[in-house]
Amino acid sequence: MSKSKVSVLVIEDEAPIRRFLKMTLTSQGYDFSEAISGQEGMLKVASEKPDIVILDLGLPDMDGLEVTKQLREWTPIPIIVLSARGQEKDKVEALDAGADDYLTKPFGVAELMARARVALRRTMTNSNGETQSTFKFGDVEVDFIKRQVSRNGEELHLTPIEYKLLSTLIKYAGRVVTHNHLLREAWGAEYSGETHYLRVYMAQLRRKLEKNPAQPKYLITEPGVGYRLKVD
Amino acid sequence: MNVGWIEPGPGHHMNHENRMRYLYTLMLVGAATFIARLLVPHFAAANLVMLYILAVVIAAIKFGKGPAIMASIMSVCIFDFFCIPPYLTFAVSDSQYLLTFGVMLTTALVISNLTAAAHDQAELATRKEHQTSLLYSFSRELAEGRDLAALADIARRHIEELVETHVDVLIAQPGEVPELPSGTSKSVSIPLKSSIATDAPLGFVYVSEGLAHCDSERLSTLEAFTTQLATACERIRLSAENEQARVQVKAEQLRSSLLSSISHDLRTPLATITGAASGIMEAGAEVNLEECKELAGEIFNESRRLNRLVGNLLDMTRVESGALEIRKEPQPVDEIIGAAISYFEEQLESRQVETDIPDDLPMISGDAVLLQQLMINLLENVFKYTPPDSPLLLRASQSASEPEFITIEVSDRGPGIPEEMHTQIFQKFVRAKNKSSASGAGLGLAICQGIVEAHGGRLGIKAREGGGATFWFTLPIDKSEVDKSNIEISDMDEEQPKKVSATKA
Repeated sequence: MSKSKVSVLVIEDEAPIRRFLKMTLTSQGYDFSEAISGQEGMLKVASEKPDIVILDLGLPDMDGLEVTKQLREWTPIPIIVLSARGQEKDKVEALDAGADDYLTKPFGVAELMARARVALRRTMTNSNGETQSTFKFGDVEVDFIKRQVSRNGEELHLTPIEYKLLSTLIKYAGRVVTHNHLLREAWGAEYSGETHYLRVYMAQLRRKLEKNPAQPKYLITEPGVGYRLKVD
Repeated sequence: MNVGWIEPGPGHHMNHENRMRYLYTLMLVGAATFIARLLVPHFAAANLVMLYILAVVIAAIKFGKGPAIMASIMSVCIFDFFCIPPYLTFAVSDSQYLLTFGVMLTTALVISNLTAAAHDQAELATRKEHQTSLLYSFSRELAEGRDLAALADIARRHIEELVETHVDVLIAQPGEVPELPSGTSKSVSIPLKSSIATDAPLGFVYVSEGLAHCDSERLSTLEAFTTQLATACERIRLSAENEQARVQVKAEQLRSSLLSSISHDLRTPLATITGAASGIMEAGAEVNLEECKELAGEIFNESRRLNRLVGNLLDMTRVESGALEIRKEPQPVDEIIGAAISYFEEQLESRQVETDIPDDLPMISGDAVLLQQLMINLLENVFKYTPPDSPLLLRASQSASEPEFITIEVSDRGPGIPEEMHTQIFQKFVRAKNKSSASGAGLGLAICQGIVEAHGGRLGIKAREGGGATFWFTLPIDKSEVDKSNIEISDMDEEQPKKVSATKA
C-alpha cells in the first residue's frame, strides 16, 4: 500500500470490541482511532480523514445506516459495517446507501483484514488512476478492451447481460454487491426488486465460469444480500 | 321484543282451514239428506237415521270434533225436516219420533267425541314421533361439532327447519358476554343457559320474525333444542379449557428441559473458553507461542459454537412462537447448496464433497437466509457425527410423484442413525444416544423441521445404502410467473446480437 500507515476509524459503542480491534489493527500496522457514537464518528471522519471506517450499525445515538448516508454525502471513504446475524435487511440498506462491505458479528481478524484490504484497494486504485485492461480469477480471464471472456484460454460466449453482471462483480471484486445494485447495473433502475431475473442469469454465469457451479469458488452467494466475486 | 319466553301464538292461519272443514261437513250432511230423501218411500225412518250416523262418523274422523258436533245437531234437525212426516216442517206427527231424535243426537255426539279423540291421539303420536326424530338428528349432529362456530351453524340449520323462519344463533366465545341484537317487538330471543346458574348465558337463539306462528309442540321441541345446544356449547368450552391446560403443562415441561439442556450446553464451551483464556493469562515469562496459539484456537472454535447455539436458540423461539417470518423468493437450488458449501469451506477441506444437481431443475420458492440456516444445521450435524475425512453427497432432484416439489438430500458415510430414532430425532433435545461425545442442545434438527414446515415442505431421514445416513427435505418449486420475454429482449441489444441465440441457455 502507500508509504505512510493506513489509518482506521472504528465507530463502535461496545468497549470490548473496540479494544480487540485496537489490538489487532495496531499489531497489523494500522493507525487506529475510535469513536463511541455516530456524531463523534462523523466529526472524526471530517477532522482526522482516516483511510477507512469500520462502523457498527447499532449505535446508541443514531442509526449506523444514517451515518453511512451522511458520510456518503461528502466522502467516498471506504465503510465496512458491522451487524448482528439475522439483520440482512439492515445490511442491504447500508450497502445500498453506499457502505462498501459488511461483517456479521462475531467475526474473526482474518475476515476483517480481508474485507478491509478489498475496501482499501478501491480508493487506492482510484487515486492512482489505473484501470486494468484485463482481469483474472481462477482459470477465467476477462479482456475489457476486446470484451472477451476466456476460460483456460478458450473463448466463452457471454450474453450482454451476463457480461455486464460479470464486469460489475469484477469492478467490485472481493466486495459484496447487492441484488439491487446488480439489477441496476445490468438491466436498469426500473428492474430493482426483480431478483428472479438476476438469479436466472447468475446461475447461467456460474455454469459458464465455475468448474462445479454447485460448489462455486468465485461467484459466491451471500444469502439475502447479494453476490461476491471472491478473489485471493 | 321478548326474551326467554316461548308461548304459543293465536294461530291466525288456522281459520281458513277450519272454515273449509265445516263447509265439507255441511256437504256431507247434505249428501246424506239427498240419499235419505230418495229412500224415504222405501225405508222406515228409523233406518234412515243410520245414514246420518255414518255422516257424523266420517265428519269426526276427517274433520275433528267441532264439525262432528255440528253434523250431529244438524242431522237431527234436517232428518226431522225432510224425513219425518209431515215433511218439510219441523213439526212431528208421531211423538215416538222424539225418542228417535233423542237417541240419534246422543249417539251422534258420543261417536263424534270418541272418534275425534282417537283420531287426535293418533295425530299427536305421529307428531311426537316426528319431533323426536328431529331432536335425535339434531343431537347427533351437535355431537359431531368440533367448535362453537360449527355448533352455531348446525343449530341454525335445524332450528330454521323447525320454526320455518330466519334464525340467528349467537354463541359467545369463552370469557365473552354474548351481545343481543336489538330487535323489533315481535322478535324473540331464547338464552342458552349455562349449567352453572350464576354464569352469563352462553349465547342466544334469536328469531327476528318471532314465534307467533308456532304451535306448542314445535315450541317445546325448540326448547329441547336450545337445552341441547347449551349443553353442547359447554362441552366444547370444557374440552378447549382442558386442551389449553394440557398445552400449558407441556410447555412448562419443555421449558424446564430446555433450561437444563441449555445450561449444560452453554457451560461446556464456556468452561473451555475460561480455561484456555486463563491459561494464556497465567503464562509465565517463558511464553510458548505455539501453546498460546493452540489455546486461542480453542477459544475461537468454542466461541463460534456458542454463537451458533445462541443463534439456534433464537431461531427455535421464533419457530415456536410462530414469529418465523418468511421472505419467499425464487431460489436456484445450486445457489442454496453452494452458499452452504462456501460457509463451511474450512470444515469441508478434508472431505470429498460430491454434488448432484440437474441443470434444468426449476427454482424453489423460499427464504434465502432461512434455507442457508437449514443447510448449515444439516451439515453441522454431519460434521458432528461423522469422521472428518468421510465423504459427503449433496443431491437435488424433482421426483415424478411430486412434481411440485424439489427434494434435497444430504448423505454421509457416518455410523448412520438407528431406525427407531428416525422420527424422534427431529424433536427438541433429542440426540442419537450412541454418540455422547458430541455436544449440542439437539436443537439443530428441530429448527430444520420448523424451517422446512414453514415453507410447506417435509423432511426426514433414511438409512443410506452402503452405510451412513441421508437427511432429505422437500421445498415447493417457484410458480411465480416471470415475463421471460422482458429479459430476452433486454439481452439482445446492440453488442453481440448474433451470439445471443447460440448461447442462450
